[in-house]
Amino acid sequence: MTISQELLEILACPKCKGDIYLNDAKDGLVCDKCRLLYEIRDDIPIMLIEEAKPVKT
Amino acid sequence: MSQPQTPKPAKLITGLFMKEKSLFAPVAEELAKKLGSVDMISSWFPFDYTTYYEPEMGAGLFRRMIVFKTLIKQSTLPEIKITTNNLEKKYSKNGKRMVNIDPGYMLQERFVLATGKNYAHRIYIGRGIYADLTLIYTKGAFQKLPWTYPDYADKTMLAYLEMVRSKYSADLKVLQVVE
Repeated sequence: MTISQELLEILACPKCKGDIYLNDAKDGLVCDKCRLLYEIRDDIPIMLIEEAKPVKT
Repeated sequence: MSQPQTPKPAKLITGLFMKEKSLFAPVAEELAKKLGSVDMISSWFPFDYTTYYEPEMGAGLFRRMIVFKTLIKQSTLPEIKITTNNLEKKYSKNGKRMVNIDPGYMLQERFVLATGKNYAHRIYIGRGIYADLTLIYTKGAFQKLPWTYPDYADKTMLAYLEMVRSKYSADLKVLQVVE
């Protein structure tokens, strides 16, 4: 997984259009507002609302 | 002799710019209703390479990109341009646009924008719309052309488009599996 901070800052949550950040495991992008995790597969962020997973608390 | 070929489906991209950022959410929602669910949405990019739009839209403009999930037929770009033009009109005030929407598509080898303005390098694609070859992909990266708008040649924009291209390539692989 090699997504860079620079690339991360280019993307937004497709649901709320707000900021997202790389999770600790560095395998997904998290939107705190929507409580959704967008997985990164093969270095490609999957920014589809229907494929996002709820963030576990 | 070359033989006619069915063109590959393309990744639909719209570039939007506006002064009032609050317009983005309702416009994006309407675009999703008309063009399908969204894929990658960019953060805000400054739109400060030109003052051409200031008389109509004011100063201090910002750009944002929306990519759509479902791949499109390349031949539908004129219809999509007309759809986005109508949306621009809907969000106009006193005959001035509040939002500018540039639809286009990406293939693995190029990025094309639709425009109503003819020019030497633009090809007519029907319904009063021309295709602007904005970027070509060669030597492992998108390359600008002499006529490429500077904001589409910006480093951040190119990084975003590279990500979109990766996703588009993944989309094509899924399509091939389904076929």
